Amino acid sequence: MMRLTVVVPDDAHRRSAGVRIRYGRLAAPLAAKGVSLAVETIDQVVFGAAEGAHAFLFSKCLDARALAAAHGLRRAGVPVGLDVFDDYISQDDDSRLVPSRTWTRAMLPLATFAVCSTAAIRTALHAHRPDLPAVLVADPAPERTDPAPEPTDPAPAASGRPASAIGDGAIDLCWFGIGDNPFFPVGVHDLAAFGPVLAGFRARGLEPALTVLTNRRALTGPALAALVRLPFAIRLEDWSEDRQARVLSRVDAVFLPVNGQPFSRAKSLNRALTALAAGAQVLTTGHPLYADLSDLLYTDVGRLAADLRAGTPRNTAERRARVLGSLAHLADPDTIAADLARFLASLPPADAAGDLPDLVGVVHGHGSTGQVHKFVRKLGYLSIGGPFAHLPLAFDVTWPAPGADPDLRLSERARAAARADFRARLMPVEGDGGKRLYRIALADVLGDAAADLPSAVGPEQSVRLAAYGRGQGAVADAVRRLFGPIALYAAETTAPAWIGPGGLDGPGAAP
Amino acid sequence: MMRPAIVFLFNLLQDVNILRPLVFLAARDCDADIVLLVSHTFTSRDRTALWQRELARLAVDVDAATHVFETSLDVYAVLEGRRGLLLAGSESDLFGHHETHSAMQVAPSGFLKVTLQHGYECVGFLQNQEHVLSHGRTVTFAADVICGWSAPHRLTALVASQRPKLYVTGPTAVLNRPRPGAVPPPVVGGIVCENLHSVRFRAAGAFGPPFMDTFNAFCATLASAGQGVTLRPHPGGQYVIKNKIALPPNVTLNNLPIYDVDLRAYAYGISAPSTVVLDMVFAGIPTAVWRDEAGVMDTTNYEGLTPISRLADWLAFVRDAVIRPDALLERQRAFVASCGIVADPAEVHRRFARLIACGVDGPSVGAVRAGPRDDAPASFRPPSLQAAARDADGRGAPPP
Repeated sequence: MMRLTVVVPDDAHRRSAGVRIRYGRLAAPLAAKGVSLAVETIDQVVFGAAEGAHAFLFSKCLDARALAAAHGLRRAGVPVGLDVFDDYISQDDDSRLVPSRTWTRAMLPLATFAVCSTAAIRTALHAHRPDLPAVLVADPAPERTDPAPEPTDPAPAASGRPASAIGDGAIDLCWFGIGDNPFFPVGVHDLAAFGPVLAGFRARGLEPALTVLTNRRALTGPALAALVRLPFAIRLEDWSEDRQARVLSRVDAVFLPVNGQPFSRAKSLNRALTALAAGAQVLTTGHPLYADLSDLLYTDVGRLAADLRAGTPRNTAERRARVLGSLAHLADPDTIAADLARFLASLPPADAAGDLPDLVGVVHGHGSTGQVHKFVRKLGYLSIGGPFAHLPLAFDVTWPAPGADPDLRLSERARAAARADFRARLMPVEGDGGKRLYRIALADVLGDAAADLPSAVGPEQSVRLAAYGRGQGAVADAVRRLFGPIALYAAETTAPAWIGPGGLDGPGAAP
Repeated sequence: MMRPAIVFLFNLLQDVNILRPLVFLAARDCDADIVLLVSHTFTSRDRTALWQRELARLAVDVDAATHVFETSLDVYAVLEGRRGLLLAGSESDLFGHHETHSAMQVAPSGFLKVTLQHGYECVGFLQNQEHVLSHGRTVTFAADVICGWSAPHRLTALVASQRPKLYVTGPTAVLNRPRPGAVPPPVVGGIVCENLHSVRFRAAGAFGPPFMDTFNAFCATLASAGQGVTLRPHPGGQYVIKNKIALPPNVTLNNLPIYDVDLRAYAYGISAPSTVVLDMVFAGIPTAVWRDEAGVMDTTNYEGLTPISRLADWLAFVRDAVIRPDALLERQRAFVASCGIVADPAEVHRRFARLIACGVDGPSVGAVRAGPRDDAPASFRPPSLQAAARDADGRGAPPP
């Protein structure tokens, strides 16, 4: 039996609805195809040598921990995959996403395969590394949640849904989902932008009432200000899975506006599939993201109103079965699981990546975390505090602080890894808490270049950013001279800190 | 039909002074739920809890529901599904007003949103040079209706885009009556008001020290004559209290809400440019306006009142206040007439009643049960002021 371990950043993520939808629905059908799927957090997972066939799939672990782990796995001959289901990599003109792009670019050479939720995402990924084998794994549709599983029922009233208010001249609508995103206007923003089309129901004699089911964080002042300007009554509710199920089973139609930015165009069909599976009619506007489902959906208010009045809506259990049957690779868990299992089996046998150096170092930058430090130390690699590392951590290599002697401090582990000629020149010193450290003058390592290092002091972001490339480059230079062949990854989450060509291999490295 | 709500937004401490008369008006004259919506920054600003007690008392007096809000969502949760009127004592697109500004933005469309001019010189309505330096010239409002004190042409800071929102009501302060039974500190001589926290004292120079130096010298001179003076800190600024400024022994502190202070009992009033100058003028006591000696501070909007700077000016003013108050008061009457403020309490009441009725009931005024009285006690309306106001503002009509 093949094992596939999905690696997620933390426990909250592991419990999230997204993880349950994407991986939870695949676990059982994958097992039937001979693949056992487990979801584990990166700090808990044991990256041992592969026992039998075992692949790791990194999901959203956008920091240097994933790079270090992937490096070690490749050295051990284990297949390393990258799961991409949101497009944070194609916005080349957006400096806020430098960390995401540089992480992906650092991860791609280490990956042996990729899993993409949509074709648009696969295209975006292949722009960075065209030869990477990538399989399409759509978010599977939920099990049918339609209350009356009677496949031949034509009318919604007969399918167990509560009586609709259509006859009384009202229409019960819903918008649901995560309402915000740290980078892009989505969610509630789309609803506010496209919502006015729902006022068109009035012209058909139906008074719209919209339930908005979303996360509290999304309901900021500006978001609420936009929503209260919608020309009909809205009702806000805190999102929960139960409430979503209840509302979807009640409403006449679900409204799914889609905007046309790359991030939104690369989204999966998940929201529409969820609404359809609940037996609700779906009205979509904007970018034709759900075109594959067009036989089940509405794009026109008038058509939807007429069909609801006539009792002949498009989303019936029978028609849904037919449409989804023809779109099995986009929705059916069994088919998707089979695609994935076939893909994993077809990967070339894992070979130990001999061209990767044995030694790994992670250089901390502005936006590094203690988690990364701990993780790197746990894997037996070197945690390197460069001139921009602000956390008081026990690094294996510590850059001299501004104003201090221009010496590098090395830990015992770093001493053992140093090249023999340098090791002989290390002088023992006592570090914090009486810990044994070793020092070596920066000039002994870098030669004349040590005299010309940029100063990293000063709180001004502009100065620090200007010094960043040369500062981190100098660290890379010194570390490579000290240790010989070493893979260097940058621990950086701060935009837009990145360094020039020839520097590090991780986030923060050159685009 | 659902019972309408009249919702009052409290954010700055001085909002209580501004809104309190309207809370009573709304409760007395309208068939509506009264709601007090208090920002969490109000409670954190109110270190002595004085104003929270005032709000609690107000809520009991008018049987109002009180909610404290932190986010726009909290505001929305209170207003959702209701209709009526939302009034703010201070609101604009400036950061200091963002709580009330965003509250107005998220109010459902069933609410008529109203912002009051909250001082004589007030951002977005009538600004001085220090306001302009600190806040710019394009202050705007989220409200549908903004209530000004005087005719549009006097409100020189009103941005063109906001002019159609203007409804001239006059200040709510003229509706305040001292509460029966309130115990003010003993009245000693005149009253000096400080607003040293204000941008006036910072924007164009450091004017605080010269004011306090002159005040201390003034107190020393009074003390040598066996006299005292009352000092009143600005309700929001509280500069001398927050900074623990040592005061001469012949100074009595008066920190009561302005509606509990009977300014008429004082022999004279002195203040740097501030709305309290108008309060003292309306109270009919001789009033002087302090300005820095070099004349850098912009006091244009107070031109016509007695200006004082040096100690000699203070003493000369106090002497005049005693021996020829009529001359000073006549000057003040001319000033009020020239700035065109609607100051007749009956007229101000009538205008607010119309506005609130509009918000509660739409265009009809049916909700006003006890209509504004034309036979208000004569002492409420100094005849000359009333006539001047009528001429100046052209009887602002209620908004459509």
